[in-house]
Amino acid sequence: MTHEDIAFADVATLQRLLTRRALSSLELTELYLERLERYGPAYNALVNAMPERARAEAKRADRERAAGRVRGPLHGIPYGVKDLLAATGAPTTWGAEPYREQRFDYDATVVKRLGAAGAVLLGKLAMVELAGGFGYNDADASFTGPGRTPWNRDFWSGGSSSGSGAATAAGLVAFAIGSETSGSILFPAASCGVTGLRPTYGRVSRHGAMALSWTLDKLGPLARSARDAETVLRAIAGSDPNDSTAVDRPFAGIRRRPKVGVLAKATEKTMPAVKANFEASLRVLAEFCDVVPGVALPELPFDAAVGTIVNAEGAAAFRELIESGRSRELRSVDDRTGGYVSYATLAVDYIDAQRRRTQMVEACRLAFGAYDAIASPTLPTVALPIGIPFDKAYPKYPGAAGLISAGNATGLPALCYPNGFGDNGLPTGMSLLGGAFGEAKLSAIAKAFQARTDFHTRRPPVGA
Amino acid sequence: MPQRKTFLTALSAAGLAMTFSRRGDARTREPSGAPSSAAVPPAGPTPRAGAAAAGPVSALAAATAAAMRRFDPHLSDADLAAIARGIDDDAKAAAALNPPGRRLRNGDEPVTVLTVRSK
Repeated sequence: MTHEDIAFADVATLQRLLTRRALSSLELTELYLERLERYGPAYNALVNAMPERARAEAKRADRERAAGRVRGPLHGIPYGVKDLLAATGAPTTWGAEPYREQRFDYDATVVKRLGAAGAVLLGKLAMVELAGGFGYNDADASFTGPGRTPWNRDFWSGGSSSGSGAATAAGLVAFAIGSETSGSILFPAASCGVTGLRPTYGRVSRHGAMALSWTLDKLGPLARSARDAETVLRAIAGSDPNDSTAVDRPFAGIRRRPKVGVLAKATEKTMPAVKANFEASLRVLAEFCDVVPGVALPELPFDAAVGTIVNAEGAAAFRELIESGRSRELRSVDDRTGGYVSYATLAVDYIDAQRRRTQMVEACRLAFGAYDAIASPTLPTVALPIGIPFDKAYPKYPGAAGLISAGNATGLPALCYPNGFGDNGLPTGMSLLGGAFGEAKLSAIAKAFQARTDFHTRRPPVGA
Repeated sequence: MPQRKTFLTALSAAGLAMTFSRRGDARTREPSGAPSSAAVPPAGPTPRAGAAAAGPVSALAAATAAAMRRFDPHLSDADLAAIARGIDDDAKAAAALNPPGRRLRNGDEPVTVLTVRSK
């Protein structure tokens, strides 16, 4: 295998190399550190590398392996985290200038759990400032600059887990952790052509993660495959005394032919390539699933509910920043004023949004409960161009397709994986929405899809 | 872009003390109904509702926006105009939460409820 082959290998392959002693964790860590340094700036993907910590963790993993102790499938595997997770050894900037020097003297629960699984933290990956909570309208919304997708650097890597998507796609890390309040794992996964898994709300502890919206925030993996994403999720899941929303729930798979519903009108307002790739993907799914078309999304104000909740909770989460007047230090012009807009959210609107969510949870359970997954295109378009406001980029395809708001409002899991390519050589993505704590079912379907296709193994022109 | 005079006029018309309590007035003037695609939340890649929309802002939104200068005296008139537009647009989007004919009822509880523990 070449260094390039190793850099783009999935976790299972890397673990086999480590097991055979074809490679040490330290060598693998050095390879990724070198790639992060060399290529990270090209995609604005990296905030801070953590070479000292990474080497120490890699050496520990190698020592343990030599002594016959292997903690699991992530033992010795290097990864990166979105820079909203606390970790000792580097600042935790939340992507925002006012927090550029912020440090925490503890590790987030997710970082601790990955450490306990033997994984090696390489560094902190770029993100949209404050995870996009203040209403940014173009890609240049982080002090690290606009995230660039490795498939075409003129286009955005998506947000808000921009660096997590780009670094995984470019083979700068073996996998990454991102967060999603509403779309921030799925969007970069689709824009960068990687597999992103947004867990059920409560599956993964948020302790040590920047809060944007306490009732919406989730943490999850971006990885090279559905198999890798599930491996990582299993390592980070579970209850945590530091996060009362985190619970222990089993990962229930599927022991029969899966039943996949297709979101009604899912391709009505999508780019032709998105539509064609989605329809081709449904044909692949039909090889091993019962595919049922025309599953309607309940008619409830998902977008308005999520928007109102993010505004209200985000204003509370960043009240000190807003009241200090330091919003003006944010990169995005829209973010500099957006906090004040959120600050003016009416309490009754926030409560009504939470009241509608009660109805949404029940309505989606009734509408989707008969299916193992609901399929839709992740986005109506390929990645957005850099330098053009989002609302001007693709005027023929406004708004978000599919299930992002509905899935986040109801706390349900979703998995996005690459399913082809479209305009400007950019990848397209397909999403599966699952039932509560149904991540293993989504993963099973996506693994079967990826066993029949090779989109997840394609490599972008890194360094070109 | 509205000028400072616009905001001073709005302030005198609405009164700062009333800006938050009366924001519902602005909302009732807006058409309600299903949320538009532009109402996709800001945590995603799509901008605030109608962020690029032009047109006059409500007096209450303008007054509320002007009140934000207490946090940052350097907010420009253009900043205040953007804030006011955002407030109006968010109010319009939020109207979809409780539209006529499909109002929430008294007993409709929020998903977030207090959990009492004995120990």
